[in-house]
Amino acid sequence: MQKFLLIAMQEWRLQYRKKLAILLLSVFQLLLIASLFNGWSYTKNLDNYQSHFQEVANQQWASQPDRHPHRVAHFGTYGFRPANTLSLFDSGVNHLLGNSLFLEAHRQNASQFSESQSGGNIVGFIPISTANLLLILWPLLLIVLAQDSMSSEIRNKRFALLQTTGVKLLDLLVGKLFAYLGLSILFLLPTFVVTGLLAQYLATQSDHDLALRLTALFAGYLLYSFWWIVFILIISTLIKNTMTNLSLLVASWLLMCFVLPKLLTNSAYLTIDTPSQAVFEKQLAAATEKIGNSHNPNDPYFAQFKQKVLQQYNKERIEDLPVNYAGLVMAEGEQLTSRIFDEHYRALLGQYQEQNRWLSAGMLFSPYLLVKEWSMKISATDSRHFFEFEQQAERYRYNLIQELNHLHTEKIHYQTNKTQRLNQETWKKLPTFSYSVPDFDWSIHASSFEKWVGVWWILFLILGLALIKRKGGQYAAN
Amino acid sequence: MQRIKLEFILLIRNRALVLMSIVILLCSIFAVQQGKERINNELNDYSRLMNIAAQDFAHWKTLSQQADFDLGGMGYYYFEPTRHPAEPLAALFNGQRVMDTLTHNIRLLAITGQLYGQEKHNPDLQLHGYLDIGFVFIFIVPLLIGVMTCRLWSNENESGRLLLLKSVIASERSLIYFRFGLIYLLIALFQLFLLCYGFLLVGLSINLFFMQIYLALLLYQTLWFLVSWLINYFKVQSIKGSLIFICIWIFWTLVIPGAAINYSQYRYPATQGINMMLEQRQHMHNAWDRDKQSDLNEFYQVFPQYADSNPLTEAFHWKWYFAMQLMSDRKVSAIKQEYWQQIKSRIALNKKFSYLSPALALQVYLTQCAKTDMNSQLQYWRAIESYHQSLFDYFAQYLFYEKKPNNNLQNFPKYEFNKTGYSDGRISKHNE
Repeated sequence: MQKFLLIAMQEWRLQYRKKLAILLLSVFQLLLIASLFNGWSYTKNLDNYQSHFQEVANQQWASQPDRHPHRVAHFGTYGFRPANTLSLFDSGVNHLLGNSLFLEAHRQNASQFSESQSGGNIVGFIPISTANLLLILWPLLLIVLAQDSMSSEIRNKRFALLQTTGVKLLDLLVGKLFAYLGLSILFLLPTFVVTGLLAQYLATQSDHDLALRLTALFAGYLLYSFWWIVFILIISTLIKNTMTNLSLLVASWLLMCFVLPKLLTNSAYLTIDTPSQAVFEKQLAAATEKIGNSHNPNDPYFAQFKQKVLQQYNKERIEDLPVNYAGLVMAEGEQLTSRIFDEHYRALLGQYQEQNRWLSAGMLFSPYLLVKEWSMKISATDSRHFFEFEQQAERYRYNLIQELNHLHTEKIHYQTNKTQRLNQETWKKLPTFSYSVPDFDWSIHASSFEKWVGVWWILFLILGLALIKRKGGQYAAN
Repeated sequence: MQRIKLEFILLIRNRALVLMSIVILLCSIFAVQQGKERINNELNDYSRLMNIAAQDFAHWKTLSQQADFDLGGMGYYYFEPTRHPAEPLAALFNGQRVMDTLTHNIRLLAITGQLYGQEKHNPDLQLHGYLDIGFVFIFIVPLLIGVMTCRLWSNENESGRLLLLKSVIASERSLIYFRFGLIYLLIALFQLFLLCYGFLLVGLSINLFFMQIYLALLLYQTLWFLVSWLINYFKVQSIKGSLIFICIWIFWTLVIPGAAINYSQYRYPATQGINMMLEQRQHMHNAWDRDKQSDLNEFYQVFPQYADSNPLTEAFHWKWYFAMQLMSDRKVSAIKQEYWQQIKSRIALNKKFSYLSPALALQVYLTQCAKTDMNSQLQYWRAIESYHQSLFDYFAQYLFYEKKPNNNLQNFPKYEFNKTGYSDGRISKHNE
């Protein structure tokens, strides 16, 4: 152990002397802290806006006058997506998706007003977030610092000298690994501490949840650093020429962080076709039309429904029913369209998952993709969290509309259906929408594939070390 | 000639370089494929929607023959598909189109509720972005330049060949410059080939417009060569030189554009959109609880051409309904302008940032040429708004006078995207 620490200390001393390391690390640390404050202020503002608008929408809802419940169902309400606390660290897919959903009868609207749609994105470039900096620039910094670390020892015959003192190649490697891992811990720690402090000011989650998330994030990024360090050291050992190994490392970095994700995205797009919103709407309409149209008096499905209702109440005419038939039709129609929407929506999410398989497969070749996924998951800013918001909003919408349909059925008389109103107090009693933030366990849920990818990477590293061991033998032989 | 041949052989011997060129070529082919497929998908989507709309329209046409034809019902239930047509160049420079809603089904209800819905996209694909040929030009070509040129001097120096060279040729500088020129030419030809390939594959001819774009690429290339030339000029060591080149690359392609995105979101939060929705809805629905005739009178002040329509009775009338929808749009037009202004301010800010980053400048320019920038999205919104108005005019002429369209709905307005706004390859300025 002491041997490793000694080598690590020596490596640190060397880096310290180089000054370049100090400069780069300081600049990068400043960039990280600046991006954190930027993320924090953005998240805080967004959160303020979202809760402000939710309040306005709730107020508009509560201050409705005496109305017919179906009018109220058309008036509808809004669901606003609150900013997740840790989006200050990793904004994930947030800027690509709408922040508000209009919730009304008969329709499941698309979310509105995403940043991308409002000119808040420049397609082709990446917004700066702390996560993106760590995922993209930190490996590059590690490359710059460590790429010549092993190769210079071998090139300058220092290693040969060391060998005489009983230091093996693997010892040197582990020592250097210690050095750079230690550096990573020291370097990453402030970022996560500041993230934690800033998150405290926003906290929508409990302290316990936040602590778990921060720990998981820290672990993820540390593993990411670990992977890169080992990769860099292996390449540095195998290739003596410093320029060649730098080129190779930078090319790998470029491939893993930029080219591969984009190539996979193209492949996913080219192989699996998904409907646009306009087509999706038409698919829903066609599917609904096939089963039954509540607005068509001669529709067979609703004719049957009418018979069923009449039988149930043992009446001949709908006018004689003790409840309002119009309300029952609305409820049945809503149930129908919601079921159809649900089926199509699930199918669409299934298609997205199919597309995402391409990206998951890419995780085998790019730890960037793997850790990005992990980071968004823990920060609750991946697509799964967005779809969860959409589904919670849809459940709320459905229950609200069915509650209104129930009022329509029970409180509005069939004979006075067009003119009767319900007291304005009624609307105030209905629940308002609030998104319940999923807890850590829900967020962390991973498919078995991703766990398997983790195993693959460990195997990869072992393979690399085995290769080094052989190489070590060669160096020793020379 | 012999010299060029020898230099060329030297370049080809560099396996990594050859490999990189092949990767770039493959990426470009794949990128163009993706772009073409994207436009195909858009066309397919649109023709599907048109087919459905044609069936619906035929149905309404039949109904329009009947004595009890409910024209207002048609206004409520009939959707006309609209489309933001792609320029062929959009296949090469995807830009904003990968995010935008490119087809909207539009009906006679208030337009505010119909314009701003998010397109159904897989967010995970959006996150990493698609590989279009613009990415190759903006991100990859500079790196190729870096690999080929930024160690021209240091390589010779560090290998000890420089001394040898000095002894056989008069000036080693002239050799370095010669190589610089040759590589510049090669890369220019390479870009020319890629651009030609893209242009021809998407069915565009090689014309002045092509030259414009190629010139922009050459300018961008020249800037990177300048960076590399400076590194050589100051005789920077190979490792340091490479690192400086990478740092500049990161600064121009990642840091500045990223900062532009963050700053524009911070500086101009686009919050008025949602305000507009909330206000418009409130206005529309409150109309049900107000005096309908006096609201309609207010409408007549804006649209006096319908003022001689009969007064309302107790019964529901579509003319009131659609007039209120239209008026609710007009009531929030100031907020809408603010929202659009926020978007325009963001566009303007991005342009300002592009002075700091040639990569951003090139992206802005290319997407502007391909009409895949935010401005052309605004243009589409305008086209929809104007179609919506003609839809209203069509229905109103009958609804306000209790008339029925007796000519088989012949003059029913058809949606068209007005291209006059950008006929010369640039977006004309709209004074909103």
